[in-house]
Amino acid sequence: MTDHITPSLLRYSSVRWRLGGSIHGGGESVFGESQTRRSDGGGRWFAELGSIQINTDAHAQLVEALLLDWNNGNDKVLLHRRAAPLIVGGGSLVPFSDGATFSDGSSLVSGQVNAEFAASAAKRATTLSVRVWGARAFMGGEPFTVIHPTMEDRLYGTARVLSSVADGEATVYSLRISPPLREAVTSGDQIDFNKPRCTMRLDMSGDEPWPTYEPGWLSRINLRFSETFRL
Amino acid sequence: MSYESDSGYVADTRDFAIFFLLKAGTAANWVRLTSVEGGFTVPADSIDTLGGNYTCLGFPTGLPILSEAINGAFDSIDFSLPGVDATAIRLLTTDRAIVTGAAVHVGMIDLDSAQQPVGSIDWLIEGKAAAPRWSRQGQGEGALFTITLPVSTALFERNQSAIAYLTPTGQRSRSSDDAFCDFVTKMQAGMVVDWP
Repeated sequence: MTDHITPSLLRYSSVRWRLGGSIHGGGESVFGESQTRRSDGGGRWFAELGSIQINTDAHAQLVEALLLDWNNGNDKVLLHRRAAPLIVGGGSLVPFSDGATFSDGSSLVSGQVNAEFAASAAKRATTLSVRVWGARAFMGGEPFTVIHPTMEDRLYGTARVLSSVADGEATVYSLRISPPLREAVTSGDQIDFNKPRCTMRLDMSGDEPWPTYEPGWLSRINLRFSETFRL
Repeated sequence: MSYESDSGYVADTRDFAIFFLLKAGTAANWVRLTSVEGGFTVPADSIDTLGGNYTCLGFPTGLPILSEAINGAFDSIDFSLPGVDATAIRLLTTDRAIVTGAAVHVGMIDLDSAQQPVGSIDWLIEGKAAAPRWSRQGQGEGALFTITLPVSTALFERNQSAIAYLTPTGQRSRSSDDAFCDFVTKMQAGMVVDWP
């Protein structure tokens, strides 16, 4: 089973997400401008969790259990980007199951943002049509996850809001996203803005993630993850 | 290497992607690699007659070396894949005969600011794969296995000419009734010609 790594599970004091890739330079022109071009076609996600505190036996056991279970980075993990949804607004208005509302006409309020694709999109598409309920207006920079049939949970972010059109209680946005879609989507597929997460692997090649204990069971470790395409 | 029409490659946009196509065995078994994270599906063209999904493998080779090959300065390139396991090494010895002599193509595509392709792939390098080899660095648990695929371009002449002796027997072996070299032995330095 794939572990979900949430901010509440591993109490890190710093976190850094980046969409990394490869940049190649072609030398410097005579007036000093270097020619660089990106060759990764959109890049992939990297995450660094800094100073995860291990203060108690329970923390130590948790970290050890996770590290043992990940088999030196061989097992995938689902790393959550945020502890709470970024874009709760008024929330979705939810009636009772028989459609009735409270006696004053008001509904229950869901903190969840519901969203789906309003149109199909091909693999590597970067312009999407998305229908969203119960969120404040998008500004760009909203992370979200799409659960693909084969590529599993993938993290994306909105780079630009190209247009927005009200559609009943929902809003239909045209968004430019990054990185490009890892797999084709069809109209009606769900989008998760509430718990953005990504399928990643622990990077065991760099810093040794196993904790070094000082007297009194005190330790801090850093873990680095990178998005994986080995399924 | 055979130069395509636009061999002096200049990227038109701020981004590009590199594609590698190893034509080993039947078309269904061709190996497709790309520098694009997450892979890239391309339609069929004149080189990749089937088209298909190119798998991301990071960067198999440094780009400066590749550009030297595109410009014709190098006659062979080594594509290395470090960090493979023992199973891959075993498969390498099995599949060596299929890979050796296979055509290798390297192409590029321009990407716009939204990472969408502009035009189709420009296939810039066409080479022939030599026998792949593997190497090991370190011992035991920390050993690093690397598979290397040498690819030679047309600048590197692979054909070794047959050893030719200009003797009567040598010429007979090439052409049984050819007397062209029959008197070669009489052509010696310092020989006095007996004029009639």
